[in-house]
This record gives sequence, C-alpha cells and structure tokens, in this order.
Amino acid sequence: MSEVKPRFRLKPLHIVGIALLMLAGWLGFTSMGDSLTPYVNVTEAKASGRNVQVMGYPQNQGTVESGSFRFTMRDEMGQPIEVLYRQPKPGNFDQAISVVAIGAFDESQGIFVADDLLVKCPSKYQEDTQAAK
Amino acid sequence: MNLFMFGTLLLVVALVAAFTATTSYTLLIAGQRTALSWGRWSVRIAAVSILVASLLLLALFYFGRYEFDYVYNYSSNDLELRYKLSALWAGQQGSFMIWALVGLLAAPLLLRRSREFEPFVLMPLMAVQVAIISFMLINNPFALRFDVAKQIIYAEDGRGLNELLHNPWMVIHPPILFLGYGLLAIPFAYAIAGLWRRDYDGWVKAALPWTITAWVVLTTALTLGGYWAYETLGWGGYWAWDPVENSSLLPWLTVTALLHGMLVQRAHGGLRRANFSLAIVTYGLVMYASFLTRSGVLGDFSVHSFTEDGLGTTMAAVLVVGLVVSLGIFFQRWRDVPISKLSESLFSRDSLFVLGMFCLVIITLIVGLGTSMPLFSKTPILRDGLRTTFAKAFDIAASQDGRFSLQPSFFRTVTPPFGLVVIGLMTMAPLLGWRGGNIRKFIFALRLPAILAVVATVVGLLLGVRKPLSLAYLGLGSLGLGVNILMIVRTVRGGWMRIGGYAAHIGAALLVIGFVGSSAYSSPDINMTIPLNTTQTAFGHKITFEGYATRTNNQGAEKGVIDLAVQRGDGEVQDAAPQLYLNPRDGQWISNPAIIREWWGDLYISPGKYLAASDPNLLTLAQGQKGSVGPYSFVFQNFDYSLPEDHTGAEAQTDEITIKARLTFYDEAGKATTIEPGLRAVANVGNQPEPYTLADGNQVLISALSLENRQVQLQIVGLDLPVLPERADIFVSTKPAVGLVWVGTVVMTLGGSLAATRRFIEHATKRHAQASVPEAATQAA
Repeated sequence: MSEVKPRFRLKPLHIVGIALLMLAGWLGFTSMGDSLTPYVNVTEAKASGRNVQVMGYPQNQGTVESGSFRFTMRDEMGQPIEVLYRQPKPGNFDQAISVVAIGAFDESQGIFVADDLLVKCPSKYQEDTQAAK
Repeated sequence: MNLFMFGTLLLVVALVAAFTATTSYTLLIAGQRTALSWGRWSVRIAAVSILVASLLLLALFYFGRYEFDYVYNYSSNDLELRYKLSALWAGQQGSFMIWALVGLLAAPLLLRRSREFEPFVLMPLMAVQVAIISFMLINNPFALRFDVAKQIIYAEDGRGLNELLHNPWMVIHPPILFLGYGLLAIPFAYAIAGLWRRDYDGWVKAALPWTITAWVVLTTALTLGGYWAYETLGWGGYWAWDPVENSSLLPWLTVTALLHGMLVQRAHGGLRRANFSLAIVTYGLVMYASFLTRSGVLGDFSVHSFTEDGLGTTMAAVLVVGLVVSLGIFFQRWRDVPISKLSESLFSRDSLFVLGMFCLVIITLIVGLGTSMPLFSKTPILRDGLRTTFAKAFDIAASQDGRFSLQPSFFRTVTPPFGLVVIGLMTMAPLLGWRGGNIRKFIFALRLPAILAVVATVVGLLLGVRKPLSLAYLGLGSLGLGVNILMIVRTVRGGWMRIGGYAAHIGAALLVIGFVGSSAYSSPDINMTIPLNTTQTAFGHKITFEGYATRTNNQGAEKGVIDLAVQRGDGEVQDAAPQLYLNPRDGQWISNPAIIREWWGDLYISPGKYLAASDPNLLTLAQGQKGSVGPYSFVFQNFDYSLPEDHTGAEAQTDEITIKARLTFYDEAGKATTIEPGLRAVANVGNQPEPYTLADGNQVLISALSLENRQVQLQIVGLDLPVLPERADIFVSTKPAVGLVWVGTVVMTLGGSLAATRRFIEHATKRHAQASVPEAATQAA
C-alpha cells in the first residue's frame, strides 16, 4: 500500500471481469456477421448470397412435395420469387395474408431456399384489422 | 346502466383510487398524517374494483356476451368451459387485467406488513398500477362492437380461441407468468423506498423473501412455457430463442443476479448500489418485455408476437418516464449510499458472487441487445448508423428496409461460454467463505465431487460427446452437482431450512447437463414415409404404422391420429400416436408430436402428413394442367363434344352423347402428340369409355369427368403400376437427457421455494444473524 491512496486499484477480480467482457464483445461480433438477417425485398434477396428475410404475398397455394413445400410469392414491388421450404406445408398457409421467408437465395437453382416461414394470418393472437376492412 | 359502462367505470374507479393512493402516500411522506387512511382505503378500493372488473370480464366470457369485442375475438360457444375462462388472458387487454390484479392483490398484503416502509413502498407500487390500468383504459377490455351505423353488433357466436391455445397449459402458463411479473414490482418498490428513506440495508431484508418468491414463480412460468412448446406445439424444442421467449428471459436473468446480490448485502453489506440498480432494471425489463411483445415491433420477426395495437407509444413513454424517475432518485442518492468493501481475494465467495452476477448481466445484455435489433434498426436515430456500420463490418449490402434481426444461431453461439462460467462459480462458491477460504481445505473437499465429474465425463465420452464445450459443461455440471450435494449433507445438521439454495443449485446443474444433451446432441430430424403395416427403423427403434383414424372432437375439429407402434431394441413395444388436425375455424393444421420417454432421453415423433392409399395408374387433371403416369406425361387441353341439332338449330333432346378429352401426350422420349380418348354416355345404360391405344399398345381411357369443373380422370391400362398403400409421413429425432431439463427446473424451483419460506420466517421473527457465523453454516440461501 502506497502513501497516496489511489482511487482505484486493479484487482484480479477486475481483470477477470474485463476478460469476460472482452470475450462477450468478441463472440458477439464474430457470430453477428453470420446470424445477421436483413429484411429485404426480392431484388435485394437475389443479389445477396446471405441469409435474409423476405416478406411476400403468396401467389398460389403452393405444391407439396415429399418433405418440402414450394410456392411463389411477390413482394411489395410486385417482384416474384419462388420459395422452397424444406419442411411440411404450414397448416395455416392457405389463410395467409403475407408470409416472411427466412433463408437464402440459391442462384444455381434460381430459387429461394427458406429454413423458416412466418405465416401472417388474420387471427394469430390479435385479430388483424386489415383483414376485416 | 349497461355492462360496458359498468366495466369501464370500475376501471376508472381503480385508476382514480390508484392515483389517489400514490398521491396520499406522497403527502404522507411529506408529513401529512391524515393521508395514511386515505392511502390505505384507496389501495383497498383499487384492489376491489379491479377484482370486480376481472370477475365481470370472466362472467362475460362465461355467458358468451359476444357484443363485447374482446369476448368475440377470443371465445366461442363450442369452447370447453376451462378454455372459455382461460380466454380471459388470451389477448392483451385481459393479460393486463391479470397483471394489474396481481399487483393490487399484493398491495393490501403489504399495507401493514411493510410497517415503517409502508408509504415508501406503496407509492411506487401504486404508481406502477396507475400505468397498467391506463393501458387498459386505452385498449378497453369492455369495448363493444359497432357496425358502420354505430349500432351494437350482437353476434350469436365468437371467433373462437386459436387452436394452438386449446391446451391445459394455456390455463396455467400465462397467469403464472403475470403473477411473476406482478411480484417483481415488490422488490422494485422496496428499492425506491430504501433510496427515499435513506435506509440502504433495511429494504433488502424486507424485499428478499418477495424477490425469491418472484424468482420461483418466474422460473416456473418459463419452464411451463418451454414444456408446452416441447410437448404439444411440436416445435421440436423447449427453447427456440424466439424474441418473445427471450424477452421473458431478460427479467429472469437480472432477478437471479439481484437475489444473489441481496444475499451478499444481507451477509455483510456490500453491493448496495448494484442491488438498487438491479431491482430498478429488473422491473424496467418486465415493462420492456411487454413492450416488445405487445407493441407489434416484432410482428415481422417473431412467430408469436402480438400485432400492432396503438399501445406501443404509450408503453414506451411509461417505460422511459419510469426509468428516468427511478434512476434519477438513485443518482440523487448515489454518493450517499455507503460502500462496504468486499473481499480483496479473488478466491472468496464475495468475488465469485460478483463474477456470477456479472456473467448474468452480460448474458442479459447479449440476449437483450440481440433481441432488440429489429427495434433498433427501425428506430430513426439509430437506423442509419447501424445500417452503415454493419454494412461495412460484415460486408452486407444495405437494404432498402434497413431492418434486420439476428438468427437463433447468434444466441446459441454467444451465451454458452458464459453459462459455463456461471456453472464453474456455482461449483466453487459454496466451498469458500465470504472473505476467502483455505485452499487446501477447498481442494480436499472437492475430492468426491471430482470423482463424480470424471465418471460423468468418461460416460459422456463413451456416449459420443465430443464437443469440448459440451464436455466442459458435463464435467463442471456434475462437479457442481457433487459439491452442492456435499453442502446439503454438511448443512442439513444445522437445520434443513438452510438447504434451499444448494438444492436450487443442484437443480441448475442437472438443468445444464440436460441442456447439453438435448440441444448439442439432439439428432437432426429423420423424415420417413411408412406404408401401412410395415416397419422402418430409426435410432434403434422399430416403428410400425398401424393405421390412421379420424375422430371429431366436440368443437367439430377432426383430429387425425397416426397410430404407430414403437419397438425398442430390447423388444418392448409402446404405442405412439402423433396427431394431426385441421381447425375448421381458421383452417390451421395443428400437429401434436408423440414422445416416447426413455431413461436416456426422448424419442420425438412429429407427424408430417397422412397419405391415403392411391392408384398411380389414375391421373386427375384440370384444364391446362400437366401430370404424369409412369413414363408418360399428359396436358389436358379441353373437352370436345357436340350435341346433335334438330332442324331449327337448337339443341335436340338426345339420349346419347360422346365427349372427347383433348390431351397433349408426351411419350418416354418426350415427343408430343395430340390424343383424344372419349366417353360415350348413353341414357339409362351408362358410360362407355372409348379408349385411345398408344403406340406401345397401352391404353388411355377416361374413368371419370366433370364438365362444369373441367376436370378429367384418366386411367392408363397396361402399365400396371403397383397401387400405393396408405402411408404415414413422420419426422423422428432423439432428444438425449431432456428429462434432466424438467427434473432440474423442478428441483431448482423447490429449492427456491424452500429458501423463500426460510427468508419469510426469518424476516418475520426478525432474527438477523450476524455476518460472522461459522464456516459450515454460512448464510447461503
């Protein structure tokens, strides 16, 4: 202990704390690049090779294949895109006002491969006022 | 006076009473003695009004009063009684009602118990109630439905409850969650009271039992939600890192940190400022969670978020004002709060508690910021900065919309290392004294748990666990398990009331081992299509499809049950019946998985679809549609038929007509020709197909047709493709060690309940033990 009392001394505890914080920052930053999913329109989705979210209005009831589901949707600008969803057809798809497809555009097949599909229905948890009008 | 006015009046009375209570207690603090009885009576009036309002709303559901908008939207005549009543909290207005009710029922309990704290605690508590009741007045649960001409619409039936919510868990999960939220207002109110009275330690003594109780209730609520998702929603997991799940996790993380901070402060002072900030932030996060899930900001990002309802701005404003005022009071007193030095040694219970709390706060930040990205990237001030920063950092083309979210993979990557640190701390802290411990003693005490840890890790290796992080979790988790069992054995002599905390940690250790097994080592889904009465193998189990049956439940929903027999490797056979059903009201397909429970984990069977028997030699085509049978393809162009005319040119009555279907036929080589098989319909005799013979001798004939729907069914004779039997399409996966997740949380909440009970008794009897107690019986809750 020196004569002059320093206002703050770095203790082992602080070092561990700072190390944890740095770990969080580093982990957060590195995994953010992979998991960041922008909300885009069809044109942007086709241009970007990464994972994105696209909102669209289904144009058809889609076709059910073994273990997957395929349909076409158009975004707000009216751009069409074909979506392949590698899961069974969602039960409420036929009532959907719009869907949000989460996945990536596969350029070789010219199709959007979705890992996830959010189906926006008139009655999800709240009644949708748009549907009533 | 009609019911709408009565209900609204009750809400207004409650609002006025809550406001009066807040004001009276403020005046009381300022020295107005007469204000006390005003305050107390206002609290009681507010509680009674909200209680009556809740019962009224419940009655409206019970009697099916569909002229009320809220009842119309969430209930219907065919609902079972328990769901009719649970529909009360299916939507937002009702969930606010429950939330307000919890707070207002707690308030009268606190009136006399809080003694000298009374005005200081009830003032912030009632201020919170003012906010919640005003949300209800903005979005009134007693609102009526009007048509264009401003006439009340008296509907015969309501729109019903979302089929996903027809579930026993719906009856208990939401109220328990709101009970937890409501209880978290108590430590918050006590913290404000402590700051106000400059009683920087007393508030912790009074609030600790309530804090642990809130923690227990919230833990239970989150577990039930997870179990619901796992067992019946068929999402394949108990935690999907969905924004709505994440936002309810935030207050849980900070309240966990808070109760540990309170324990340190109870033992020997210290962490006073940390505890104030945690108590304030926890309640802020409760409000923030509601804001995220109800304001509609996550509508495009979450599977189960509410849609826009106009409350978002109000809630955000309440949240900001509340935080500014609370933190303002806190910073006002900042320099006044005495600081007690914690242990200098890193190797002491003090330091490990601090690190553990710090880790929980870091996890809160990660989950909170990560979940808020859709909101931040939508906020005008932040939007452009974020967009350009991330576009640069991660080489992403900036999108027009600008909003973005983070996939669950983000949370799966970032949170586990910190969980591991927390588990490590949980293992070491009980063996050390607050100020530090004897290292040799510490190592010596670890010998038995270490054996357990080594055994568990070896077993894990043998079972095929290879990921270093998972092995570390397994090893440290079992070490923590061993240490806390050891501590129970040591402390139980000093009274079994003291083991609550250790029991909770045993639960936590089991829970994380369960996490590792069921998330890191759950198998990917195997998709199999099993024909009727045949067997296929998955994960060493023989699965036989024994049939499909539909039964109609009392709501008119057809439930299809896929009947499977699952035979284990050792020959024991169990039935599994995953269900698929269509809700006729909104056309949603609902699937319920079947779960075969084993000691090592679960075999999880989700129904994909049921395929009826079909004859591939038949092909039904609509006009313009293309289809194929074996090597051939057909496009149905149109029907070609002419009715004979009589001499006036009108259609003559005829008893015979030939209809031809014009088809484009593609053979194996893809060469197209036009063919026209026909069907001669003769009155009173029947239909005579006129087949078309293909070049290879096989025939195409019309087996059925519909002129108005422009559909034709073709039959190909000669290919003799085998008829397909009924098939069940299922997804099978394994969830190892998932049982430990449930066992762990149950043990954790039981331990927590015991600790809460002990603290209530302790606080009531006012036996405050000194900090300097012998090593073996230190104050570990």
